[in-house]
Amino acid sequence: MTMDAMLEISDCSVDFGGLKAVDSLDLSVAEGEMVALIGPNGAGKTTVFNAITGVYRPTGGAIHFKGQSLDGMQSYRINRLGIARTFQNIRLFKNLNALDNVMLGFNSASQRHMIGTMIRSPESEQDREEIVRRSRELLDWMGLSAASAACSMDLPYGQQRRLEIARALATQPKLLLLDEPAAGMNTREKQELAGLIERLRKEFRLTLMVIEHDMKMVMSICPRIIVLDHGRKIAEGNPSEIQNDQTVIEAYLGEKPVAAA
Amino acid sequence: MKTLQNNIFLFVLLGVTLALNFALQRWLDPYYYKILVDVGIAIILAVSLNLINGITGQFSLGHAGFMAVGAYVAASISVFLVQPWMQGAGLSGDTNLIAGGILVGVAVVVGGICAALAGLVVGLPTLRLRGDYLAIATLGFGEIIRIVILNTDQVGGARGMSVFPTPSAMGGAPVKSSFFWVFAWMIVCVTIVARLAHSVKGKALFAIREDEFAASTIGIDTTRYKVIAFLTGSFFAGIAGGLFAHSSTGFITPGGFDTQKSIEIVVMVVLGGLGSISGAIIAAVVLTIMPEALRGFSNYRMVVYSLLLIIVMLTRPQGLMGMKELRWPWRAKAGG
Amino acid sequence: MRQDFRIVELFLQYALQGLKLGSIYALIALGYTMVYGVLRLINFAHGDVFMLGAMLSIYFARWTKLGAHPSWISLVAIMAMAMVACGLIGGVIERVAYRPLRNAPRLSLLITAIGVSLFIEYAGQLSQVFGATPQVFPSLVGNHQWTIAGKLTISTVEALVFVVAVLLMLVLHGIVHHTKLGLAMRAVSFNFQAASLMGVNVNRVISFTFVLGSALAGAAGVLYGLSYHSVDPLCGFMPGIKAFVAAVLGGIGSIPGALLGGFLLGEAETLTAGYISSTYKDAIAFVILIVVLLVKPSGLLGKRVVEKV
Repeated sequence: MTMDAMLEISDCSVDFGGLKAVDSLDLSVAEGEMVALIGPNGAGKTTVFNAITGVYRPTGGAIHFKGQSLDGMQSYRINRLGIARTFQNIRLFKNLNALDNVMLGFNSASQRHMIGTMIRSPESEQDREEIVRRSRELLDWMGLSAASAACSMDLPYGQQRRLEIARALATQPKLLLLDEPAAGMNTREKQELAGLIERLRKEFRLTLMVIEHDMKMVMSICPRIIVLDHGRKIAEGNPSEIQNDQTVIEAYLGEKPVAAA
Repeated sequence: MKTLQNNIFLFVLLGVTLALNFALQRWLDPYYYKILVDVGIAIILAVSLNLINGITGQFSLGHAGFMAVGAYVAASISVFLVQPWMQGAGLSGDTNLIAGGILVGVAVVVGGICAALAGLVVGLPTLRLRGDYLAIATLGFGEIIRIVILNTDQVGGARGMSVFPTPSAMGGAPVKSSFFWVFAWMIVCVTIVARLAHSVKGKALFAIREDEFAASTIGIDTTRYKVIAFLTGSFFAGIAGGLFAHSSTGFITPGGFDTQKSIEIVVMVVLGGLGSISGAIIAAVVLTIMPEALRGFSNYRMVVYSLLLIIVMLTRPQGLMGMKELRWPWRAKAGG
Repeated sequence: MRQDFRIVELFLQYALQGLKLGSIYALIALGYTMVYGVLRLINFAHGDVFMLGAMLSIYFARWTKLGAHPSWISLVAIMAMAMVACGLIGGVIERVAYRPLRNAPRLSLLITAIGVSLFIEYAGQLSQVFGATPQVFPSLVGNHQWTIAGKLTISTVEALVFVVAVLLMLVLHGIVHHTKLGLAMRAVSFNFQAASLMGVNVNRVISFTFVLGSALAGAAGVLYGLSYHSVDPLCGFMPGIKAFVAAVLGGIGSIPGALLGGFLLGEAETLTAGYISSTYKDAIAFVILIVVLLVKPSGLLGKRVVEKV
């Protein structure tokens, strides 16, 4: 636990009617870090993201972002503090085009009042142009400029994942949570994504938390890895430490029940 | 100045409507005039419900309830305030079309505001309900509104309320919802709903429909937007109610605003395409004219509607237009 | 002293009426609750199937001439016919209108259900079908008034409605908890996908649920006809919606909940009609609905469900 942690999760638990999806988790992420969250299926990784973003209210413990407690805060407020995320099962606005999806990310940044848009005031028109410009910039960044007018539902899988990241970036986050960004991608796409994430981190000065199953990718881009199993943190360290950790190997191979460890 | 330029098209349209008003009143057969007014009211109802059900994806089954609030409030203002005053001042709706129209306009606006307030009262507690629960809750609210009116003797209860007094008491013809007032409101309603839905901020309404939770994780205050949709939608339902109360016979009964009326509006929105404003307009026009055009059809009207609903859902669930819009040809490229 | 007695007597008389109405709501609510359990659909057409139960019974009684000879046998025969007919209709509705939308958004399903409901109501009003005017329901069984405890009276029909409702609920409870099909129903309502992976024939289970629920609605229709004597094609809409309220009040998905909700709603309505005003009778159900949804959306006996994101 460090004082300068950007995200501080302390003794956090999430219960689902007796089932502890997250069990007394302590976790902290410093500004500028890139942390991977790994673990077998059902280890509670996504639940951690859900707890951070206000989907589930932790049954115990606390989550602080930049020293502010997130307890009981609604998702949209948490986002406005500077936390954005993507989803394991891509949740784009399916029937809207790519540009609209990204523009919606700027929704809370737009200062114009609705009344202005009703009467088409020049200010609101400018505001719109500005947001369109910035959205196109983001699409360019993610290599999606050709797809901007396409219905997001019709985009190939890899592009949908990148679009979701672009939408999250539009909210100007400090902390970005990526939930299995490489799922369903082939090796080449994964490599591109890894490079892209690295560039994004520098360009937007992001702090990142990534849930990922592809160990090769995780090991190559994340200096620090946290391993969850049955809702508990079972290991934490740099890639080589994790690779040689006996508890982690057991958790993945399922040789021994981890609860005994 | 720039703002004015941006809206020039709108003013031209309103001007044309006003000019048409005098031409139509003079030369159009009263029967067709009535149908035209009905069409305008139906469009306001369909487009405003489309904002709630289609664009924001919050399935309301209580639109007729808000229409009832607008109708009864506007009618009451007309009967208890405007008409006695006009009579006292020796004014007649015939000779003072503009003055009378404005007074009735005020009544209609107040009706709309009251309907919007009712929408707020309904919306705040129920908007956290999802899908079918919201449908039943709004249906319930619509029924409660109707039953309250049914039990209010001052507005006639079950017997209904006559908005226009006998001609002798008025000293002339009463002020009716003329073509101009109905279509002016229709233009305002369509413009506001379209601009709201396709503005930078208002796109959030579509986002809520598509994925409410994802919308909230990108900083969209979903409750606030749902309330805005509900407020705007019920406001225009109230306006439509007020105009309806002052149209044709000027006679309203609580039974005219029952669940069946709500469902009729839903049918228009669904057939037109949930989320498509032009679709809602087309459906409103067709479904209002069809029963008039096909004599003897009225018995089968609801049977056909219900079959259409089922067939559309089974074969083309996105409705006639899907989410697409017809645009003015010269603006198609601009994407305004 | 006498005055007090009369007040209590009146209250009990209302309460008995409420029990009768509540039994009918409960029977309809069972169908809602079961269908909602497996499909997460408010089957708007359910109230209209209930109406068909009552309406078709009139025709059955006419064709078989059983209406002219009131007896327990006539009653049982007509009720059996109504239940079979409604079960079939329910099955057909599911097969034709709902099954093709199994993977569609829930909103499409809801709109289709509204469509089916409208279709039954308005097709029924056509003169070629039932016609719009109310029809008289035959008295299928001798209706005797018994006086119990002073001036309190109870009729055969009132007792019958209550007994049949409770009996059918017990049968249903038995089916759901003690048969293989019932187990499959519970599995499907617990988790659609998982059940299908476990080898449950989901389509068959859903069909069965509709048939069962609709048969109960058919029985409720007969009891409604016996109680209120007049049936028209629109008479199923409001009871249907209110029975849904009863199901929500009791806790949607819960069989005892449907029964409890039905009785409570029946009592609430009759007491409102008796003590406040009969015109407000229809509003009370919706007030209850909104309060329940706001205060305890899971209902009195329902389980709280965590929404999976």
